[in-house]
Amino acid sequence: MKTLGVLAVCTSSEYRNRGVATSLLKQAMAFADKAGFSNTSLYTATLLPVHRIYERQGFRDIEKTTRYIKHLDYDFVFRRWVMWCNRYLKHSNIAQKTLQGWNGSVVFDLGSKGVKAFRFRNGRFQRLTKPPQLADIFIVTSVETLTRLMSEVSFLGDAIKTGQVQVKRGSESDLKILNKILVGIWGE
Amino acid sequence: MVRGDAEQLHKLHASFTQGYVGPLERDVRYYKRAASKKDGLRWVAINQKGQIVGYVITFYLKRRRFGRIFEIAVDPNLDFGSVARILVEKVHNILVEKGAATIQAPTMLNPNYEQVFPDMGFFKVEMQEVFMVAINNIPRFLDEIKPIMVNRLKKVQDWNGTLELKCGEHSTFFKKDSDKIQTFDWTNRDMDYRILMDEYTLTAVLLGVTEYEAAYAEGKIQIKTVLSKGKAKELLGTLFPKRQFLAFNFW
Repeated sequence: MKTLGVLAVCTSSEYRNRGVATSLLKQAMAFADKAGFSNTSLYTATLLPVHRIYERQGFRDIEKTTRYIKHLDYDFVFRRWVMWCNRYLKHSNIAQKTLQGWNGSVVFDLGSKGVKAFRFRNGRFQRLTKPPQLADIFIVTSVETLTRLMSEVSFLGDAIKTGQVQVKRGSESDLKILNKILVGIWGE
Repeated sequence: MVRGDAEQLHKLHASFTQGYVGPLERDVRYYKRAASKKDGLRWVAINQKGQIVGYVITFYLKRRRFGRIFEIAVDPNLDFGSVARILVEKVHNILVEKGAATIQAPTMLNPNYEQVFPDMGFFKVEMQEVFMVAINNIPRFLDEIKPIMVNRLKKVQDWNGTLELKCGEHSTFFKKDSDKIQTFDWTNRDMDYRILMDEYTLTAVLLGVTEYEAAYAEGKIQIKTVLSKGKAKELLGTLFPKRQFLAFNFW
């Protein structure tokens, strides 16, 4: 079946909420019709604000993707994730704003996969090879659950409710920040 | 996998995805390109006669130590699980040797992956990544799906008659006389079987991502027919097979 694929839609943060993405999409769809395409398709994530824009333009969810994952060296995976958090932070004004004034350390007890920890200090994420004695947030979970949280599949609050995550220490406001860090979506 | 396999691989892929739908395109050049990479991550499975009965295409990002099992195809006459397992074990061992920290096998919809990956220590994550479709032009869409509908109608046994597929204000018509299927854009004849649904339900049941029974139970599909309930259900089941492999490019 022939389809016109929308590869990427992006609006500069200074020009958001002015209908830029909507009018670009309208143009793309008008082009699709003119060029003889019966349908337009795209990939996105349901948690992204742009998902709503797509829905307003007539796009409908057809199927979510599935991944089969095997971690062979989780220490490396975690290190990459901390690096990615810093890279993301560098380019996101909204993330920088949300984390302004927040300093915290987080420990994940991953059972047989060991303990992983990081902290946020002076505007940067740092992986901690030695977990602090008294972390601001201490969580017991599994690698599978942590992967799901980091893959934007589930939210920390839901994982806590279902018992997949046990919070041994951590205030509500700190956990809210951690959820944003894990999921990587900073807007409301 | 070598460049000389390209034509056979392309044929295998065509037979593997026959009857499935999805915006996936492959040509001989794709396989030639894939086979020209010398990193040992593309393998074929051959039978005793030396014919290719399956292949796996894998990528490895050295800096990220990340392996992705991109595509597996198996001769549809063979058991997917047993052939795919041999192929996946091969690339898995190579990725381990290369020092992969993570191996992932993404799929849009392939129930056969369940036979392979969980037993090998992979866990399943349903992502938030979603495939979305907007139907820009319903008459054109109905026209494009005609070949799929014709192929599926050919599989319907013990039934000959007329069928209307109606989406909103637009319809497409079919007349089945054993293996001969005629299509019409318009007719004033009474139909033996009328299926009414919106374009998105049609997309979902056509791709097999929504089960027709669930859509029918939710009232998303309406049927008007002179057929018996059992026959009507059987026909719907052949036209819209339950969850099946969805052939997709991950662009």
